[in-house]
Amino acid sequence: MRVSCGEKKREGGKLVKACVQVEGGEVVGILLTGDFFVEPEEAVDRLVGELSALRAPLEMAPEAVLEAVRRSGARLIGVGDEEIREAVRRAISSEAPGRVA
Amino acid sequence: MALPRASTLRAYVAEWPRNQFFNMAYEEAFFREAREPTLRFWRNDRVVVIGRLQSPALEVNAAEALRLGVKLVRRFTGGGAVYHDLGNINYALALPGASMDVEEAFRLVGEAVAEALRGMGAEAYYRPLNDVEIGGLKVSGLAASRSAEGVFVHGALLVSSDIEVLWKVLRITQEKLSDKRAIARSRVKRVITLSEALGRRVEPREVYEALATSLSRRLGLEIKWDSPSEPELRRALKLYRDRYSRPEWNLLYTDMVAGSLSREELEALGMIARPDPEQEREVPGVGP
Repeated sequence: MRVSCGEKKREGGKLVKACVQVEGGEVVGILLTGDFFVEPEEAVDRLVGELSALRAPLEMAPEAVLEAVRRSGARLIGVGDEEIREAVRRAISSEAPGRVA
Repeated sequence: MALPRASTLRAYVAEWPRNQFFNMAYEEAFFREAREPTLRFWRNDRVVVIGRLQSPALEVNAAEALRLGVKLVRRFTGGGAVYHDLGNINYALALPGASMDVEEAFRLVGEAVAEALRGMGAEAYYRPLNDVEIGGLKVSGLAASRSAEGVFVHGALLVSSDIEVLWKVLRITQEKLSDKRAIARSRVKRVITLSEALGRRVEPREVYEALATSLSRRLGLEIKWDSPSEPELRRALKLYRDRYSRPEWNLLYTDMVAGSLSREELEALGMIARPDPEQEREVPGVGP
């Protein structure tokens, strides 16, 4: 199992970093971190739960993450679908393991 | 923006600077306990405060923080990592029963803070999403949370913080320092302290009065200077024990990236994310 991270900052907004656990050609868990905001507060734990339990083939991961965010009822403030998609894409295509820059 | 009917804004200074973990526990406690609009002012001794959704290893130079006596604590609101020292003041506004979204809450408080600073002589303005600036440089950053209970906004305001330490302990992944001599000149690093902006020493009390006046006016409430209540303190002690004094909370989201951290960095993270034994003495309700 390897962990790969990718990040994307919205112009004039916040940064989202996606760290994906990949096993057998599949994403088996994902973490979204960053300096964005989430509302309502009650959705934070749901969001983290949905993402850590997420399973999807690599190429479906970006959309699967967006679906998980929607299911959790969380509204992210400071980053949008485009940034999340891109961060996940970069994580998946990243050669480096989850290295801290 | 909807605020339930209230006539006063309860305001007080409540701080335990030497126990940054209890300070943060109190921050959540007074929001959960609030029955009326409440405004808290406080300061922290050296600590990096990270947002609810940040991974600490990515935000702090832990070994450096340990060397400099800087702690690490996670707050319950989102947003980015900030450095607090006694030259930074924190303001926190709890609006129980309010139903505005986070963007509105930022505008409300951000504009009030900017107005207060203008009254002190600084050319400050609110810059969406969550900054207050003077001449293009950040002097205050805000974070917020909205729940079924209400809305909570808090911010950190640089009065006379040690910017050099700030840049040593915060990880900046995308901005590389090319000129280390420029560290001391905060202009290069895009932040400014209020003392620098006004060209004079600034006492915390002066800022508290200005902020309280500006916020109460915007909210249409009368200020009532008060002090922490027993329920607030009890709740804070519980949150301290259950959450804020624990690495399990402060170091959330470290597992995923732990594999790429050096042992020195991992050990340092463990040490800065919990209070030292002598810090326990600062906690009210805990005997020596």
